[in-house]
Amino acid sequence: MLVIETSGNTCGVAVSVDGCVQAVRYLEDRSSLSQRIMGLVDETLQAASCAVHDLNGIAVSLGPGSWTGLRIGVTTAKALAQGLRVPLVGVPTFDAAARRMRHAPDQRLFIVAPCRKGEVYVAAYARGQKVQSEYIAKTDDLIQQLREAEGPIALCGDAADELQKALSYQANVGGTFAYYVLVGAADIAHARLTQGDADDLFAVKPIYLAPSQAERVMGVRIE
Amino acid sequence: MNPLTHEPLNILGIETSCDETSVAVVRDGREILSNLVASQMDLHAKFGGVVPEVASRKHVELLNPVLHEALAEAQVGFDDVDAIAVTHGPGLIGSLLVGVCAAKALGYVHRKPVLPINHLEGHIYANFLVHEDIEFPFVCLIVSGGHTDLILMREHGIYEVLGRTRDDAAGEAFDKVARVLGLGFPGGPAIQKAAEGGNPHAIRFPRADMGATLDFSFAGLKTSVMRFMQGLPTPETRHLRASDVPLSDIAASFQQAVVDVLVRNLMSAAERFRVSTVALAGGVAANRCLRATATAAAHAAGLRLLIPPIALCTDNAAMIAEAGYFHFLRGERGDLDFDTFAVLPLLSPS
Repeated sequence: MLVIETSGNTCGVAVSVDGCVQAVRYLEDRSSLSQRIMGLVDETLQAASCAVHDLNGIAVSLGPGSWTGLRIGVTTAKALAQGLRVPLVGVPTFDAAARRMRHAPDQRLFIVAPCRKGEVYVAAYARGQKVQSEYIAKTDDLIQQLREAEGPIALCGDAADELQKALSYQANVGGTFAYYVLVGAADIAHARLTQGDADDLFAVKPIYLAPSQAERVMGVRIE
Repeated sequence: MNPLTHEPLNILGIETSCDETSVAVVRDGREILSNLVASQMDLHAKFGGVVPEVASRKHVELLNPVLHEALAEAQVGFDDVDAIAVTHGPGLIGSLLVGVCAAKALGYVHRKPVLPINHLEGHIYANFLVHEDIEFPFVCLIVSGGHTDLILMREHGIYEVLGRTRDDAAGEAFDKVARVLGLGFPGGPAIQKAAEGGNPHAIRFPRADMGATLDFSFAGLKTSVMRFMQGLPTPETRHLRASDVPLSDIAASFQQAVVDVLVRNLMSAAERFRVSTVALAGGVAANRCLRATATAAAHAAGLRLLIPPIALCTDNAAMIAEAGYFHFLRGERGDLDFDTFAVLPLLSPS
């Protein structure tokens, strides 16, 4: 299976077999993503000694995160799945990142990604369960919440560095966020495909969490 | 026809530069096997103009089903496609990215060349979809919501820009004036409808003269209509009051002013560069007043005038596939790392 993650600062492509990642390639410079993405896919397939027609599924990270990045990843994944006639699984990015992350039983894991200035995308997980769905938080409010939290917390994601600064103890798990996402998305997508639970290709779209600026300003909502 | 195999040559076209999601299959540069256009116009009308983020999101949702339908209608599989032509500029970056990324992924999977096409070149090539016998050189007027360009085309792929607008594009002027007249978006069809039965000579709105150049300017005309509607005096309209003039006359007079300038420059260019053929292209070329005025002027000057059918004037993927066909015939095969461009001048290959 081919796995694509383009929501964050570092984008990544992985090839997985039975849900386990065999090869990963990253792109640090997101500004060249649309130019480089097929090259990245090609390099990853070669590293895994896999031909494109050997793929029997595509998994894509749906966000939240960079809207443009997500559109590039999701569009590429959809076209690959349509062109290859293989099933597509869209995986919420934060669920993927939390999937394989080890944390203590009493520890709460916050996945955080930058949004507009002063805001972050956030979701929380505890004991392997999602306890707070993705939403857009004011950074200051989230900092307050983290400071008042009972028990230890763990932070993961592109906004973890910024939030870590407000805490007195080490919470940031560090590492490459795209790697966590790719590993978790491969696992989730494999589990779903094994159940025959693919997504409707035509219905897959990024998780934006917010309407466009024009919709907010003008009070018009497009479905 | 494929010059090597003598098999039919099918080009898959993808166009997502603005608010239309379009996929087409064109055979041998002549036969439109399918040309599907999913318009988002109704959505954007709610905002009074195209919202880039909304357009980008809709392209992600619409492209795959439109692609599926276009191939099904053409009764063509990916194996029968010889190359994929996709618009990579000029246009809205977020919108362009959707078509370009899909084209690259499909090209990669099926090992088909992916040819990046300039949207403006596509508009010109709408004419080649309907005429096999176009003689070079000819002058083409590209008029749309984003562009007003006079192009001298010397050969396939060889362009010279003779003139362009210095401020608003013609279609933009239609949109802005339609808003002032309370006619809604998009302005071109709205003004054309409002102008029906109106007297195009009721008000002599200004026609910008850009001296010896073949450039255009519509800002002064737009301001004149605005001042007129606000009851402010203008040199051209001082004896008239907006409340005394029927809306149809105002719309018709504005429309005629735009069209007069467009046709004047097209004819001047034809004379200056001694061509015997002139052409129209772009969304505004769907305007009946422009088509009629240009037809009369070309006839009077003894010129051949090419105008694509209306469905090929507005944004569509068949014109992109058509331009791609000629790129393919020239031996271009493309690679998968090309970029997208908000601004992309129509240049000849160096």
